[in-house]
Amino acid sequence: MTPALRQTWQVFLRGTRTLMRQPAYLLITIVQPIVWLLLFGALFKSVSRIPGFHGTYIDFLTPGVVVMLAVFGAGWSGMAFVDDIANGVMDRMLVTPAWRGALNVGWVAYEAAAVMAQTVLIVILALLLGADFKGGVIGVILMFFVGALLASTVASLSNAVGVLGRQRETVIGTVSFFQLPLTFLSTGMMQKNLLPHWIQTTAKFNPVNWAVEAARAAAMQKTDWSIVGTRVGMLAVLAVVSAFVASRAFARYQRSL
Amino acid sequence: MQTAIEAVDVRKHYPPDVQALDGVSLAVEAGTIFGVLGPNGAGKSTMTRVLCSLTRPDSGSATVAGIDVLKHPVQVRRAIGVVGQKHGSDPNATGRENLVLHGEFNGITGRDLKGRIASALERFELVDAADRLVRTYSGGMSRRLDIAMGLLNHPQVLFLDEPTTGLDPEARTQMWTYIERLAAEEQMTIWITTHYMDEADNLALQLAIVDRGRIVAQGSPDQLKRELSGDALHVELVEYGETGAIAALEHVDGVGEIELDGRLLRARAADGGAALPAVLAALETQQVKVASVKVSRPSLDDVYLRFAGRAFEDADSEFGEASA
Repeated sequence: MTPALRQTWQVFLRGTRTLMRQPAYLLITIVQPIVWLLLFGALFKSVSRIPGFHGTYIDFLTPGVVVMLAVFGAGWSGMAFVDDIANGVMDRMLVTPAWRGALNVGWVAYEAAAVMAQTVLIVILALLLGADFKGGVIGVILMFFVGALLASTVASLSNAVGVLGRQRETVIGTVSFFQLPLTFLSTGMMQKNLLPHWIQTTAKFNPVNWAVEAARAAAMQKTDWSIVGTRVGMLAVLAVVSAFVASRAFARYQRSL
Repeated sequence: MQTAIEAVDVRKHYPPDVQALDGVSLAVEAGTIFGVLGPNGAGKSTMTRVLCSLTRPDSGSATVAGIDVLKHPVQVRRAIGVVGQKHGSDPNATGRENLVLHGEFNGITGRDLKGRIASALERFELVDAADRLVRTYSGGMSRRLDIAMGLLNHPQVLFLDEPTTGLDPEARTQMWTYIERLAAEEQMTIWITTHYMDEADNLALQLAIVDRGRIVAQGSPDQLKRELSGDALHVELVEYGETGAIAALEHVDGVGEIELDGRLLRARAADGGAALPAVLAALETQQVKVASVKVSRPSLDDVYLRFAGRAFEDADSEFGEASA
């Protein structure tokens, strides 16, 4: 392994360890996806009876919940950097010859892995509730990948906010400002042709919606490669751009010292 | 003399109007403990950050271990160890995990890293605590871990930014012992900033006194004290505002730099003991009542007062808690 990879791996391990050492947080992380799928499944069950809705609601909702996990779980990523700056851990790492990107990339990888672990639970529960993954194993794997990509984008941007804002309140405010609108300006809960027209238009520009469409087209239908390909492509570009934004934020932090 | 750290006319300004470094030039001989003494906000930490490649100055140049800090920051980072003012260890990881992460970040891996960690734990008496979370450590243990982390890459130059601030007296003394041993056994160059006079006096072979972003005096603690003319006389008066006291002392031979600060009358004399009877007699003639008298050899406090033009404590509290 190159030093850069090793260092990224160390940051990843650090994230994982921190999670494992907080039993309450770990428990919430496990229970949360289950609650969401059951709660939203029950709440919006009658949606499937609206004329124009195709298929069962559990089939429809599962990819939506996976994407929500990415938005909500990875959103708090930046909190770790607020703490690291306050504790001096950040400066300590910056005076080593390590690859700078390891800090963001390692942490982003941890957030993406956490979302994938939650997705495993969602898939199992959805199967128990009778979901039909028409995309097969490959489609489900693609859904994991889509969740991880969106989580990476969200985590990078959250890290940038944490490093620039340096206050927990800034991260909490910024992240919670975006989470719900981005989630509901998508087809996560509601089929596209049942959404108001302006939301249908807005959703086209919403990365959360790209992820929902890609995950749904991959896992829940006979995989539609043109939808999956374009959406995954756009999400991948966005993940790279976000990582770049985070690295600019780190550079800006260092200049402010 | 081999130079381990050199800075030429380093300036740094923080918006809107803080001139943190206002033209700092210095040279540190290799293998010595170099103390940087100053009140909060004097620019000690900023200077340390510039030399560690953590921040760039607006102008000026600096080399550390012979490497240009501005041109080759990564090479400098290979040659230095840094212990910042804040802890720098992850409180939610164990001591060993912190050491592993820091070692890997310095490019040290595998068996080499394991060996270094084992001897670092031994040396800093952290073997028993190695697998406990750092947040359960005492202040002194946590500081020792910080230094162990800073030494993992066997640096040529070690930077310690206020390493004993917030430690209890016992832990401080212990930390001094570690630092002295490091300098003696490893011929390491140690840069230590402090706002404790006694710490600078005890540890530093060479000392720079900084105030408002400038070096106001430089030399060994003894040299600096010798430069002051003679002993300090502190006369505590019974009443406030006895301006007559100044006039009285002005007529005593060999007494100078007379100042009255509330009830405290300060003066310097080449030989404090010999001047004392005449000083007391002169005060009595002016009917100034004396509460107590103290003659002391010059301290770094006096050195600071002389070169910075204000008392150290005043400068320290003027800046308050927002240290930079």
